[in-house]
Amino acid sequence: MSAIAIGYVLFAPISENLTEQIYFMNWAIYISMYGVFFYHYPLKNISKWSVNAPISKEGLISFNIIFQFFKIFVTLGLLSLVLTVEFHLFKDNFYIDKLNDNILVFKDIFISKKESIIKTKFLPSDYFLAFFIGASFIGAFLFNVAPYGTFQQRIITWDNTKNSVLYLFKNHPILSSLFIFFIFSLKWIVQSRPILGGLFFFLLSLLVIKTYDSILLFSRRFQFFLVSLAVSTSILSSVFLWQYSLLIQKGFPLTETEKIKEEVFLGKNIFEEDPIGKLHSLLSNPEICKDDINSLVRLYRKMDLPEDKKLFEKKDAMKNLIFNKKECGFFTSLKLIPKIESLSVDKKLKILNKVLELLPPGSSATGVETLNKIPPKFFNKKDIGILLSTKNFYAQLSAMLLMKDIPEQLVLDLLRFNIKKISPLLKGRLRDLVIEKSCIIFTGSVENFLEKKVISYCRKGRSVSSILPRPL
Amino acid sequence: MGIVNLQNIKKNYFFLNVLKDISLNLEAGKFYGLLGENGAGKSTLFQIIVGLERPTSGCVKLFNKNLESFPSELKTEIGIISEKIELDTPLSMEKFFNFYRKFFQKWNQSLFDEIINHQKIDLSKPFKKYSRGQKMQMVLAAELSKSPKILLIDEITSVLDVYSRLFYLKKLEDFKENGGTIFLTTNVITEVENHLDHIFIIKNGKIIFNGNKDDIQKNKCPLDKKPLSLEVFFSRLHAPEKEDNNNDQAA
Repeated sequence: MSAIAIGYVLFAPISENLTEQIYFMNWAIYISMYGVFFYHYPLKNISKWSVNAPISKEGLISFNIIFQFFKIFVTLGLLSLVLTVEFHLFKDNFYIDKLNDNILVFKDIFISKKESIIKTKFLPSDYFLAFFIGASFIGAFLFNVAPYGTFQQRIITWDNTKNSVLYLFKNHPILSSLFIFFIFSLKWIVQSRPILGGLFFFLLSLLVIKTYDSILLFSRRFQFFLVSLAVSTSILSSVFLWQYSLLIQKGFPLTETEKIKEEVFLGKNIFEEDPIGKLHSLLSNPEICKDDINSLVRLYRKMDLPEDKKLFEKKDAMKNLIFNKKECGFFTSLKLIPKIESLSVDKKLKILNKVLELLPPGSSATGVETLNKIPPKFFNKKDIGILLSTKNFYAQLSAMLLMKDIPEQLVLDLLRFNIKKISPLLKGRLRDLVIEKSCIIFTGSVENFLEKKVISYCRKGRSVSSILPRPL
Repeated sequence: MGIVNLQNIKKNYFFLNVLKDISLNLEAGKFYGLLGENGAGKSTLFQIIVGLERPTSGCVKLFNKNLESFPSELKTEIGIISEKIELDTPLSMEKFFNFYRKFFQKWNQSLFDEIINHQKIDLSKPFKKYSRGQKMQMVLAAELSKSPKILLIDEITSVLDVYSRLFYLKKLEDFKENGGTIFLTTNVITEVENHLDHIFIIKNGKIIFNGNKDDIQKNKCPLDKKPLSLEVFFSRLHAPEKEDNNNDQAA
């Protein structure tokens, strides 16, 4: 209530209109809810006197969890109430309308499930793991002794860590050896995402248990029970994540790359024996598209394997990796070519012919869009003459685009020489180019009184031949 | 076996041995005092007894039940008074005590009112608005009114003023006469000396004296005419090491 009062009354004089006023009020409400939520963790205070009262520690933990749930419902309820009231009071306001739209979209996606993303697609295991880790983290944050309980209670401090490690090494050599073994086996564990998820969940649970223990001081039996619970739920989490991936693999029509990603998620090293060969065979699939190519390459690069540049050292690499692709995978595959700038002109022309085959030209503008999909280093000023002399629309267009920065006379000579070969679709661009280049020549060479006249010709877009020193 | 029984309690903070193999037994109806220099391990031992600290090894039994598996219902029989006990709620103390007393069947409201009125404590404020001494008095009043079987008290003497100390020592005497047991840790020896039935002296994490006033007199020098006071006995127990320390420093 005070947030509404502060937001509405106090900020009213500095807001220019109703929208701003609602903005201010909502900010005040969000901030106050943050305050209500994160500064009302009563367990620590209760623990200071409950030691004298017949209250069980299990009861205190349950109370804390129920209290947090209560807070979540209350804060969300209040927020919904405020938004509903705002919607009814200021229905015509732009901001409220926008806010309402967002709520409707959210409702369509997550509640009514009208939107296609929920209906038809599945959540890949990697994203599911991220969701699982995020949810565990937020859970540990919400249902802890205090919002930053682990740090407030100084569970993780440099001195504690140092002393624990030293103590462990001195007094428990077997445990220390196991610990070292664990550290070295982490690399292997990390390969399998379900185990990683379970391990994360376990460590998070341990931190929460330790934080509760620092306040309530559990008996060893209860500690053992909680740690066992953490171990079993972590194992169950791993199994659950594992099963989730298997379920996806069995229950959905996955692409090859999606299948591979699921296998990698489960810890399978698909690039084990001949990494480059395997990647080559996967990328040789003519059906493979942009996202799959990117995912595969990203997956490969993460694995500390030989550089993927070596892909093109394989026999028929260009044919398998580039020329057999459909439009959806062709341009992404081009990005895999190492040192694309040093490709021979013949190869470049082959590539541009493939572009022509995949995307027959419509206009100069769409042509530019297509060329933008090719890595910029592919185009070289040295190749302008050859590119212009071909009958390939894209080659000619790329040459014209490259001409912008080369000497004017050379441009005009090249154009004059190849004028008959230039695609009719490029005539407009050719005309513009000639006018642009010719004007520059004239401004530098004619008498001052003529200068304005020539420029005005340019502006009017007079015929090309009348402006050029020698007609084309 | 007594009300409180400690067997071979050890407490280490990593490489620091704070308590070294401590065993003691508290019988019903007696006033026990735990004395020791600062840093001797008094508070650690107290916290282990009340369950605010976990021993590294050893066993603590209250009412013949292991502290680890101590049923929460039995907490009505124990009153813990320490600066660590805070009745920290946003409620006024009056409201809090109205809520708190419902936990205890044997709550003695007239005793509570008597203490609060005698000490002129205004219960209309929340706990954090009171001074240290007032906070301690409210905890004392509440724990005495619970009518527990044992009171475990940590260092009240240093927090309360002289007048209040005497008042509460009188109340503790009454509590003892009604069959209650008191375990008190303190640094102010002279004021509690006459009330104590049994004394533990702790030094460097070890109990170096465990006996009553008669046992103290056994340590009296034959030439001493006056009876040996607890304060003198305590300082004698600690003197040699201090001299040694001085010698070490001089060296």
